[in-house]
Amino acid sequence: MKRRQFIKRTSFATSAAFVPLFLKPFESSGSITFEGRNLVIIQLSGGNDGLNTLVPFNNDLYYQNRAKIGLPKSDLILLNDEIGLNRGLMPFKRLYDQGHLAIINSVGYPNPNRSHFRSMDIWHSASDSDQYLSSGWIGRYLDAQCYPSHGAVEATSSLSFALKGEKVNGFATGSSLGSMNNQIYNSLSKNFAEDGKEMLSEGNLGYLYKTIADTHSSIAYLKGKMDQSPSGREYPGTSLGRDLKLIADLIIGGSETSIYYASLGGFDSHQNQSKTQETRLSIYADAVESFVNDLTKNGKFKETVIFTFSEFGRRVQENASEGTDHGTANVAFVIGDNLKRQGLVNTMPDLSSLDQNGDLIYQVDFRAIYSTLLSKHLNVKHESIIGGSFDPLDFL
Amino acid sequence: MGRMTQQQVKHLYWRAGFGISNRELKRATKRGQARLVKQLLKPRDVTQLQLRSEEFVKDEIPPKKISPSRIKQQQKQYLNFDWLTEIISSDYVLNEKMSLFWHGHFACNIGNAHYLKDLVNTIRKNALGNFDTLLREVSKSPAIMQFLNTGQNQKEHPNENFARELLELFTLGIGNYTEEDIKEVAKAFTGWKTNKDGDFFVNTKQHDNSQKTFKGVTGNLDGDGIIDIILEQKETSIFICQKIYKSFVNEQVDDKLVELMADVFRRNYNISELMEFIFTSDWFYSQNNIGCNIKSPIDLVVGLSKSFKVSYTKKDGLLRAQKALNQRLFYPLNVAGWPGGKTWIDNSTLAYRLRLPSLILNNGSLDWEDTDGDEDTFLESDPSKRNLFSSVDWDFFKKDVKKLPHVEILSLLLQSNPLTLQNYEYSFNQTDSIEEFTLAVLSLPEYQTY
Repeated sequence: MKRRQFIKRTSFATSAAFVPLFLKPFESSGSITFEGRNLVIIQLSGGNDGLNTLVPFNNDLYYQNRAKIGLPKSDLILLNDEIGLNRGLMPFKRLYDQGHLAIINSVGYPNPNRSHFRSMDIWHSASDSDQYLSSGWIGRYLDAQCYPSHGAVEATSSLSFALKGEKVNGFATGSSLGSMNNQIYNSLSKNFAEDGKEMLSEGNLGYLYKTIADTHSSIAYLKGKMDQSPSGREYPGTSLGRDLKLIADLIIGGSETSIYYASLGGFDSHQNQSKTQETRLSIYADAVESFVNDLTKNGKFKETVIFTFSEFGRRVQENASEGTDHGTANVAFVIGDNLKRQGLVNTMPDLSSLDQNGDLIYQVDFRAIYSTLLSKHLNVKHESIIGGSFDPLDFL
Repeated sequence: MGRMTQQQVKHLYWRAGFGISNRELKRATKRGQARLVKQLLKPRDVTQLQLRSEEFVKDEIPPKKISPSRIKQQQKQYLNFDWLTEIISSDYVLNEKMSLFWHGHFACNIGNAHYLKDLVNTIRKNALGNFDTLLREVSKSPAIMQFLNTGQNQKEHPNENFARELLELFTLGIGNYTEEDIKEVAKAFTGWKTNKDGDFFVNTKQHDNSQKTFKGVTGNLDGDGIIDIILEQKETSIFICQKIYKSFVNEQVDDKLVELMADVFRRNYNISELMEFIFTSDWFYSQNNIGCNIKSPIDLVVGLSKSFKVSYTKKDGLLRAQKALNQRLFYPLNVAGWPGGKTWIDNSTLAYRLRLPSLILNNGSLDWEDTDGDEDTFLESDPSKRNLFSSVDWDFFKKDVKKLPHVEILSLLLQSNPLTLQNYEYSFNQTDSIEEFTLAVLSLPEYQTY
């Protein structure tokens, strides 16, 4: 064979004869009992400063602790006589006025961990702060429902821990979803045979084969759904805008996906916080507004709930660099068409009673929010996924 | 153990380096284990990485877009490219492998390419040296001090960022310190500063001279005093050895073996002695430690590039590949570096990993788009320009495997369980060229593990 013939610039060179014989049995046999509802999680990574997101502008303690970075009333979007939103969140005032926004204050967990990674792990696995779980809560949801991979879809290039189950992993699209007619999976899955399931160990190699098989079936499915969404819908040109557009494509295209996941980074504001945070929040809110409008126009907003969190809030007292250090409890947002509680769900954090680190004390366990979303929106038993000790709340 | 089997030799060279050629394998198998390990550890000169000049990188930027931050970004990308190509061409493989380990351990992501260059040179200089020295030099490096806000930690306003990451990520590990410890440690590090050239100094006026208590020691502790105490803690040696075990031996940690390693390590924190202990222990070569780990993206790229003497004519291809595979040098995922193991794998990264051999060895292009926006404008949106700019020396490989039957080429390239390999045997004679056969083997999931 001539070299020229052999070398094709973009070809995948595995000959079909080489494909192992024992993949087919590993294609996920999960089935969906999809009820049309979906949950969209948006993660603000880095620890968004909740106190400068939702500002108690009549509270002297707030300005005492934040002499430099405290936001004056004149800079805020006022929600009532006490509370204002960060200027970056202008679109949220509209959602608030329409009754589509629920704000939950002081969300956290006991014995808070102030490390990004550990606290994110805790949020992703829904564990206690001294408990190490090997699966994420959305992954366990997939496990419990026996869903295939595309039951939960993350719009990033790599899958977050939250979407990794014991048996089933969610599906990471990256932006490669558009070019998903990836020859690799076609080649590797063409020659599946019926035997050999027992050949695969529980080890890493078996894990690789299983991932290939799962991906193969999910790609075909998701691509088919995306193609059914109407074209020409406009979103901001930010990474989150692009990610939410992709999620909207799938929702509108009718994908039987229950949970979607997207993230926005850049919230770790140890220094010169004010401008950065406002910019990041506006990227977030602008993308969310386009998403909500898109879903509304296409008749899908009724079926969707959007939940936004960050791994922790920040210290009440500003630091010397016009920023804030890692803190604890934080504000979370729920957006939807059928909220039982609208606006402020609970009281503002108590700035006069802080923990020994000078941090907020949590009032609402984040796992109670997960329980609520699972049991009241997705209609599944939350106990096996989150544990039995977190009763659902009344915002849904 | 004296002589080793070929599989054991390959195991050593994949874990302590990035694989081995057939010629070297034949030679190494005749030597005893002790001699091979000594050779891997033998100190050599480490070439210092240099920063590309501003003039040089300016040529790569469209004139309208030239700005100080864009220049630094280009310099950082070249630093990535220059280190990666240095790893590919270097014979001091264990030093580079160990440097990659510390590069993830002392994760740092900043825009200042000059500082990053100093940090990586510090790491490469000490990678097989003494952990005590490495820890102190890294802690005082302007890169880490900027990344973890050490200089902003002042008497009146402590900034705990460095104190927390020092305990959590660099030394003791989670669960081995309290929140109170972090406050005390942060106080001790007040006054650590860098001047405008990035040189370390202590500003005594900003140092908190109060009494601090840490791990049972009370006094006017300073930063170096805290590091002294940290190194006396058994937990530090255990934490580091756990990570080394996961990375070099098996992702499934064996606590008893880690304990043995930690006992060796704690004697004087000599990294070479620890690695020699691992590579000369029988348990390192046990069957369940062979082929069990998933290669990091860098292992994968470097391993392929070494076996086929691949050179890269432009930086963009390698940068793009690293990003798609989710491990870019100098861009750790977060302050904890890269968690490794199964976390390298999801549907998206696995697709790229399996295609990587045909992309690199066939000079293919990567159908992958950037998702992060602004910062990485080097990613071309025109698919025809997205190739990897690789150039392969097939003759080198073909000469190396000359006269080897296909089945032996396969076992040269793969480290996985031979039981699984039997499934491929039926088709050994169906292909007619070495290139096609080799690419087929490299594209198997088995090549992803080592």
